[in-house]
Amino acid sequence: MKRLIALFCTLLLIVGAMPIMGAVAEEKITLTFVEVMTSPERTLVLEEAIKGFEEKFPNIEIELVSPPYETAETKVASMLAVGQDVDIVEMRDNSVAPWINNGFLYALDELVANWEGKDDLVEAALLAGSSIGDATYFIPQYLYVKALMVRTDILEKLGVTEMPVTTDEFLEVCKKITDPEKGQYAFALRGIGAPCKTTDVMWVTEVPEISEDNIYLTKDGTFYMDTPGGKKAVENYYTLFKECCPPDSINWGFNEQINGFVSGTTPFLVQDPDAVGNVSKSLKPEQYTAIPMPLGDSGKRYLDYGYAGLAVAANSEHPEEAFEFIKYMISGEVNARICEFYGALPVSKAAYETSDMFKLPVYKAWADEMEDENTVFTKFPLEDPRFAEYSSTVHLAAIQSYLLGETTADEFIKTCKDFWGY
Amino acid sequence: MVLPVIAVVAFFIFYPLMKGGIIAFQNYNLFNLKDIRFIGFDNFKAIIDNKNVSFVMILMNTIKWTVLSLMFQFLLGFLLAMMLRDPFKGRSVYCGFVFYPWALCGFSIGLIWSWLFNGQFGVINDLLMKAGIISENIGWLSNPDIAMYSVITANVWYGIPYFGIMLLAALQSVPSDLYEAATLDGCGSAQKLFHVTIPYIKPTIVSTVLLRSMWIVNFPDLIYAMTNGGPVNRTHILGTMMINKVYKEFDYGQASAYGVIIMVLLLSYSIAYLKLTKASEDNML
Amino acid sequence: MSTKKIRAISYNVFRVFILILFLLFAILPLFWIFITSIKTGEELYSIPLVYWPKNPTFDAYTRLFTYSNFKQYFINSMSVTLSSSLVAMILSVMGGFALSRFRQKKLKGWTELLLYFTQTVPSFMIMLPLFMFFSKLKLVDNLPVLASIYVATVIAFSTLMSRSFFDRIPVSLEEAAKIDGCNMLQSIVYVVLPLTLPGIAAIFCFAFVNIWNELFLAVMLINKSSKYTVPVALNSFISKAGVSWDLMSAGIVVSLLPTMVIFGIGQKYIVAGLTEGGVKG
Repeated sequence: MKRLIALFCTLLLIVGAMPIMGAVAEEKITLTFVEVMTSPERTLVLEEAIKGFEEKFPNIEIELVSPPYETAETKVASMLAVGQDVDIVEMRDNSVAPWINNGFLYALDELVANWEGKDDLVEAALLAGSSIGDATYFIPQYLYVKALMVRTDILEKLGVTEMPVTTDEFLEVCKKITDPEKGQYAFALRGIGAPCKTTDVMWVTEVPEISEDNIYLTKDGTFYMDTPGGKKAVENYYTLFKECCPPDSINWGFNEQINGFVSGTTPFLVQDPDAVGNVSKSLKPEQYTAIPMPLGDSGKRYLDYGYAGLAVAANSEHPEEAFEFIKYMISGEVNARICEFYGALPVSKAAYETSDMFKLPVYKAWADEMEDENTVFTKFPLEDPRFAEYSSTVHLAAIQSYLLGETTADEFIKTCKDFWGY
Repeated sequence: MVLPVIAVVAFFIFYPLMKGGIIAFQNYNLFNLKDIRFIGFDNFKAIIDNKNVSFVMILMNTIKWTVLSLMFQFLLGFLLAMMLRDPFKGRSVYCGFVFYPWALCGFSIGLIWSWLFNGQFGVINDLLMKAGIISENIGWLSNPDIAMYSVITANVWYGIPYFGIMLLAALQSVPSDLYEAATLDGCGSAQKLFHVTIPYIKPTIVSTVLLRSMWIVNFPDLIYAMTNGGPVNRTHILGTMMINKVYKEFDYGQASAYGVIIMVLLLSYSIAYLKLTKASEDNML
Repeated sequence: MSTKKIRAISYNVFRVFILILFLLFAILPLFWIFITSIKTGEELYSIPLVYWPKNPTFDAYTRLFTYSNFKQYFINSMSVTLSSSLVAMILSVMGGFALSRFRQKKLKGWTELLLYFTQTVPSFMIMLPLFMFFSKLKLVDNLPVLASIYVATVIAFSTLMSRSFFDRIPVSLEEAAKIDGCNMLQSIVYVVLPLTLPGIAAIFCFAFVNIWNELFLAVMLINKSSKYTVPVALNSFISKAGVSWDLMSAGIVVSLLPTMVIFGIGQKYIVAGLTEGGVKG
């Protein structure tokens, strides 16, 4: 019994001593950097970059905090809300609006104005950085733009030599190559994980005059699904799912889409460039490429530029040093290395020169798409607090219900329209 | 002597619980923390009146989840305990292996089973195909009508050890003279089961079932890892809605409201349950 | 052969059959995960499914301990779980004993109801208030604090369990000890406790398994990856690209080991401790 008590006290002491051992006297400045797109491999890439920064700036130490991916944004929001010691935060387009709304982020305009390197950034980057709130609150590190990835080798085998340009051609090709008996389908549906980010971009091209401020509305304020073009897109999508997609794809997330594309089951995939990072691990460059999103009745394709980037916490004690870190991370070589890991488009023009990966033909396809005269950039209403609920819950359930045949196209459109109140 | 326990529970559970309860009545959304204000029952109204996610369906899902999991966990656990009652060589080792699922965390179990049930790469589909029982892959987790049963299967796998252990202990405690007396009276095995065994261990059954059912309701981890409530919200229970409100919609107010609903439900359920089974306090575990 | 013998044999055959079924049902998923952990990357997602890898590799395990700092997470989980289980065990034994010997029925009843009540509380409800409270005290990202919270989560059930163990020990034993000259503490320590040791071991096992496997509170309250517990580390193997199955399966196998060991040894005691009427005379 006495031994038990002794053992117990020792254990308590050991456990209690841990925080004391952790605290070290500091003469340097320590910045806390929180990433949100955590994965074990990515953390290593970031740590490498951090080491490089610490060599350049020996008096600054960066501490990396990596919360698990699924819950990271909520974690960061809570950390910022209670005023924990955070200096640099990684943000994503779909979760940054609350942080700006609550005043958690530091306005970077002054620091950006004095930054010579900013001319090196692609135009979309700085535009995005100031697109939410009344100041520049973040600097994107990489951009996401949707394109249509194709398995050229599989399509060749199946007798398709010309790539579809319009949405009607696309649907025809998909129907033609689908053969469920042989396990051959056409399109890697995004079933879960905010499918509206994919479907809206695919559908909106049938509707003319989409507003550049809100992808959901036409320039005169009509909800895009509530138009003949919108309805056509919705119904075509149902046909696409029923006739050209594996039935299981109603449950597919990013991982399953990649697997479908890599295994050849679904040679068409609408995705952001970070899919390339995953796909290139299993496929050779000659086997696939990307083509611009097919054009609908409007003759224009509307793309939103998604992004993830870095911001400075409003109550950081060292905003200038924090911004130094951001500058470093966005500079040519570092930006290239980090983007290579993901495959998303770097924001630094220099990165395209230094990195071999971004010279791959598939990336040229993305560049072509972005510069095409028929491409118009617009955005999702991310500042609207209802977008989180819409994309993750309401739209998800509604579209699954529709594709499974439980509701009609009109009911589906009405659900979406009623939610927004447009 | 009992004060430390009360103190710990009061400090770490009741105090935060009160605060959490208050949040249920507030407009506490991470989107706009400057606007935290008291909004009465609006969160609850929003949950119950939600046009897009039927509250009734979620309640039904929760009940289905709990009742079916409990039933199969209990029945299979009881069967296992009956089989284990008479000692045999290596029984301890066997127990170590057959009871281990309970040592896993709910999240891991969800992941393991989602991998087993995977539509394309899952072992279960593959084995069934090879055995010729099915000709097409079954969408265990993507078919809205089946998904709930897949999730329940994983939960049953997890819960059998609990009942197995509890009931084995209870079975072993039945004095053998009771059985001898019954045999003398001419009882067959089935009668022994229903007239000797079950009445004797009834108190154990009552308390383990009550506790287990409460724990199952508060066990959304597994569903969260396997389907996160999908497809089409058909595997959503109150607990998973609560998790989603926090992590996907950043709305702590409604999440806490879900929590309050869960607690009210469990409280009424336990009171009703206890009254029905008339279990005396002395016999409770 | 007499019908009795035939019945006995067929019952035994039936029994063995059922036991094997249960064992397969329990083991196969784990076996599959183990196979997954020794597959190479391409074999993971290949059709047709690979049942036994051509070149089994323990690469995932090596990477587990190099890429991700699994050894540290293991140590963190161990220290948090051991210390909180021990504290919970001691406190609940004290509390359970007191509750069992309590004379006033009403107060006893209310206390028990209170403890039962805690079982209805979902951890998400107390998560945010706890987080905010400890942030104000700058005590977030602090493993001892997490351990104390864990004590609170398991202590209610543990106390109820221990109370029932003490209920089965007749008070007459303590009285007999007192007559023999022991004071209160001695009678408890030397007479009562040894009889309930299996039960106390059972409480420890329950607490250990529950705390080791807790995920959501740990995710909320721990920031630095060096302080992760094992479930949080497993959770971190999920990224935008989905589950990293190689690391995840290896991680699951490794994290299962301590709980399996504790549970394997412990279940003997749990069963023994829970067997009512285990104390004779």
